[in-house]
Amino acid sequence: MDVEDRELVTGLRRGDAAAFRRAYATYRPRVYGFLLRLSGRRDVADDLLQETFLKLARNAPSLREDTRLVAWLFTVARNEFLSYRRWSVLDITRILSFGREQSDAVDEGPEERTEAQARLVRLERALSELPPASREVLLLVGVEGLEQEEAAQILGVDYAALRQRLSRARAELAHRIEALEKRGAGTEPKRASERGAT
Amino acid sequence: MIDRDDDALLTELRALPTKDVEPATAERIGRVAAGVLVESKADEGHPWRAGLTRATRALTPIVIAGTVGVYLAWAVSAANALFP
Repeated sequence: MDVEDRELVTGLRRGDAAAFRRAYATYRPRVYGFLLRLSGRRDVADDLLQETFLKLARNAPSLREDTRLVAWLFTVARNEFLSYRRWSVLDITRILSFGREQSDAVDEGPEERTEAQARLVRLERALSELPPASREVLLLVGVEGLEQEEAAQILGVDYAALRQRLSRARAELAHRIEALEKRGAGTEPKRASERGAT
Repeated sequence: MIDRDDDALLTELRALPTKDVEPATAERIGRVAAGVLVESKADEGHPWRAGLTRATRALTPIVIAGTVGVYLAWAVSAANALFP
């Protein structure tokens, strides 16, 4: 646990508004990116981000001194997402849009891309097509760069299970990237219909 | 099994762009959460107040569901009485 994190936790335990603002500014983009890539919807990610930081505000005085804030926030954010998924089974708008869903996390960007940009678009798209259980482990270990032990703790699994899950998710991702490369996705100019939709 | 340090694909994932919420939404969420922080700080010295808040939060959906249930039961029995 680094010094800045410890200071933030100490401030939060005191109910210090400045510490909360600093924690919010520091971790908001990471938590939001995680939620957006996990849910694939901006509106959902907005709501879940709010719930996550409301929980932090409510629980700030009772945080333990040795709390790793990043792990705490990702654990809460993931639980909020799981809760949303359970309820979304009953969401009629989601059922009606089934098959037409496109992840908000995939930003197609300009029509003319360098190979590196095209590769990132393919990677983002392949990631969005993975099942959530595979996506979350890649988001935590890959995108967020968390230690594997920490990711295991967030996902509520032991280290060996995390390693297995990560290995499987990585293979799935590589397979999907390959499939997208064969289809030429990420490199072709966008069709007029796609441009109109974005 | 893979190690993060020598895995090119995981390294590429690290290069994905950061996503952030719209500034207006970020500001609104920050303001609401800061308000909640002030409330939870105020509740800290009064455990009964924090308990009351928690109980209210837990009981509200139960009361709503109960009211709806009682109303539906009444509506069904009233309809049965009208159309025996």
